[in-house]
Amino acid sequence: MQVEFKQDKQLKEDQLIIKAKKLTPEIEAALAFFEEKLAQKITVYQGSDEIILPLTSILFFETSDRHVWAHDREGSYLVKQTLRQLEASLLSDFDRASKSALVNCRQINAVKRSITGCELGFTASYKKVFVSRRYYQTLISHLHEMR
Amino acid sequence: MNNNRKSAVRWGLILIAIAIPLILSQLFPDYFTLFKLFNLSWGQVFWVLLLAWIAWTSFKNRVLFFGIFTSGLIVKTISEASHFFKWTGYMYLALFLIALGCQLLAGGSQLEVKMNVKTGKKDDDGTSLSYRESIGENGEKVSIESVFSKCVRYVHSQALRKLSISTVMSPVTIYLDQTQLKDGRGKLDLDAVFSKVDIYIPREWEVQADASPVFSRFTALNPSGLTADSPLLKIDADLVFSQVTIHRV
Repeated sequence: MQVEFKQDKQLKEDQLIIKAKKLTPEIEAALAFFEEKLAQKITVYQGSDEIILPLTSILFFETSDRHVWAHDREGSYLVKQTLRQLEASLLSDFDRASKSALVNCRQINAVKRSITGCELGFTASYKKVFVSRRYYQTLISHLHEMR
Repeated sequence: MNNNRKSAVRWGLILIAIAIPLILSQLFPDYFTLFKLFNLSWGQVFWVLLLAWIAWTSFKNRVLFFGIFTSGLIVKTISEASHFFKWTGYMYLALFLIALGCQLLAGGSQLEVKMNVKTGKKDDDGTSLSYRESIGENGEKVSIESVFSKCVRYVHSQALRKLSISTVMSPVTIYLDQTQLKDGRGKLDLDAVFSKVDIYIPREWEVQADASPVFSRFTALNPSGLTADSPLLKIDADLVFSQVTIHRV
């Protein structure tokens, strides 16, 4: 099976199309997997606006000033749940980076270790998250399992 | 052990510690005089108590550097008053090196994040050796201090008036890309010693910088296209062996 990505800037909404001769169990499983992943959404708030975002677009959640914020590539949004509640209800793609951050492991593209600590970089984003020593090993193991 | 119990234990130990010299001064009057314990004057006793409080607080927050350094100063004060030995400059240097070495060996510590109002919370960002953040009401003032600590913080204030950053030997990254300045004007006070500071701001902000760098580098360029109505961030920076970069996103 070939896997290919084609960029089309004229599309109004992203599409995921699988082309095959016939519907096999493997392709059914792949369709079910993507449907499940892309279906999960979360309600966030920006000012007085209520926005529904797909979880796959979230880079990480972080706590600041007694609130939880969801960050994607465009900005940050208020979430009316605690990190603990999010951790319990979210996909297994999300893992703790520190006591105040929950990261989407699928969006991580860099792990930078230095004498002062460890930083995570995200795909096509300038944003970074600090990883605490307490959660470092678990997070790295999770990343290795996913790959 | 709850907080009340801890407080009771702490005060119990303090009261017992105060009683011991009282007893000694009565049992051995020739060797212990209450008001001349270790030949310290009242001023020196006060100084030692102050250092002891600083050391206690530092050890409690696992800031070993300051805890060991102040403990050494206590020993110095008592040893000089008691004529055990005289401290030279090399002793201070040795104390500094020991304190710094112990801190680096110990590595991470619990850090205490204190909010400006009422309660505090603890964060365990692991390798932070000393970190403090306070946020004023409505997020108008944000203050971040970092010592031997890596720090990444996102400021979400929608009415930021003043941001104070003080760092010592710390790489600090502050994101102001989702921040709004109160009345389109904001001030950033930055004190950095042996630190690397990266600040991310919105592309449309104008930056006016007044930097005093000592063996340091400060990079903040204003792009073309800014208008008089552009939000203005005034930066007042004192830098020593540091690098500060303003990124626009």
